[in-house]
Amino acid sequence: MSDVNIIEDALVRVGLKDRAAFDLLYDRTSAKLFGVCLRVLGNRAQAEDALQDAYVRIWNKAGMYQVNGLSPMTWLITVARNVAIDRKRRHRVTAADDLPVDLRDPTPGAEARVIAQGEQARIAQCMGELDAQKADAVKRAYLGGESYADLADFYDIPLNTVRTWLRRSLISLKDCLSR
Amino acid sequence: MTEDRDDKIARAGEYAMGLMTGSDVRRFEDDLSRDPDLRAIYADWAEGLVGLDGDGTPPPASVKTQIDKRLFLGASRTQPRFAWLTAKPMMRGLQVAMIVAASVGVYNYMTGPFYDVQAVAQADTIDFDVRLDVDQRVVLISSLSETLPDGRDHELWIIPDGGTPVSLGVMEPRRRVTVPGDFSFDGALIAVTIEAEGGSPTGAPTTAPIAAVAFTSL
Repeated sequence: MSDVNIIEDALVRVGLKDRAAFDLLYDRTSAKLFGVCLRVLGNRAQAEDALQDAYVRIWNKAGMYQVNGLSPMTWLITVARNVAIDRKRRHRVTAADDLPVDLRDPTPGAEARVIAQGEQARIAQCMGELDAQKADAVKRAYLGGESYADLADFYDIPLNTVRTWLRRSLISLKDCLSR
Repeated sequence: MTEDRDDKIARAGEYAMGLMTGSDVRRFEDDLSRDPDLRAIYADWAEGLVGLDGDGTPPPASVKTQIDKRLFLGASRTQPRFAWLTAKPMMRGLQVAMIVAASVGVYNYMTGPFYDVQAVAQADTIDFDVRLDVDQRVVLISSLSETLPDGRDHELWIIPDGGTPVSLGVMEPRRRVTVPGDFSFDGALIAVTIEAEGGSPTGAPTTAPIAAVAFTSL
């Protein structure tokens, strides 16, 4: 069975409250989801709490997985991102133990190693076609969970302006991804 | 490409990236539930964007331990709150108790409305479906599989973190119960006991719970 199939099978079984499947799913996916939480929250303790919340939600909501049409890993990542973004926006942590989060290159080396594959290659290529600042803003929003207001502050431009140019960038990006 | 389609693409992208907030999210999710084309665009976005996520970082082992504690019986945090019943033999018959996510904040189309909590507890003797609407402070009982012999009723309790059980009355399908205004859901448990018809005469549980569900705030 391929990795994707193993994860999908485990997720379906978690939907039926199969604890062994939950353990397997955790083993296969927790590193990836922890990376997602770490990048959004930039704080190890917060990311660990978010990861806990994410798997509690996965356990409770796995039964809904099959109705959404996403691949299993995308669904899991989406759950983890939403939990982490929610936590970030509620807590706005600026703790002393914040990790320096480099949004330009979230996993140096590792990313380069696999960048030639499928989705990663495609999105990397399409991000490359965007203006550098706009590609950076897309990464800040997606990987860092930053809102339009955060981006407006960061780039010191009005919120509506950020929104307009980011929406245009998204249309270009999607156009490229669909080619 | 039409303006309408561009707008769909931009909105689905904003949603997939978590840029959308408040009423825009609700409106988008309404559209998503009605528009298969929008769902396909959103799925494309979600699948495309995950390519930005790099490899992971293994979490410390303590995280899984904590998750298991929260999800499965024997959680040290919730155990003491059962002190009122642990001596009773029926506690051993409690087969499954699930933690339920009372999620707040980011709404997610795929994982359901944020204010709505669904608890499906399956024990030896009962299968029920309880929803908690945190905003409205309402508990909805939507199904109940088992009917008891005459003279007995299922009674629903909500137990604050560290507190004593508060009766939510006798369980009936499609019943709505409003939770007292000062009740804190964070760390609360919901439990079901079998009581005399009409509910416990003392206002406190007289038997061990046949099902229990912990609400956790996500």
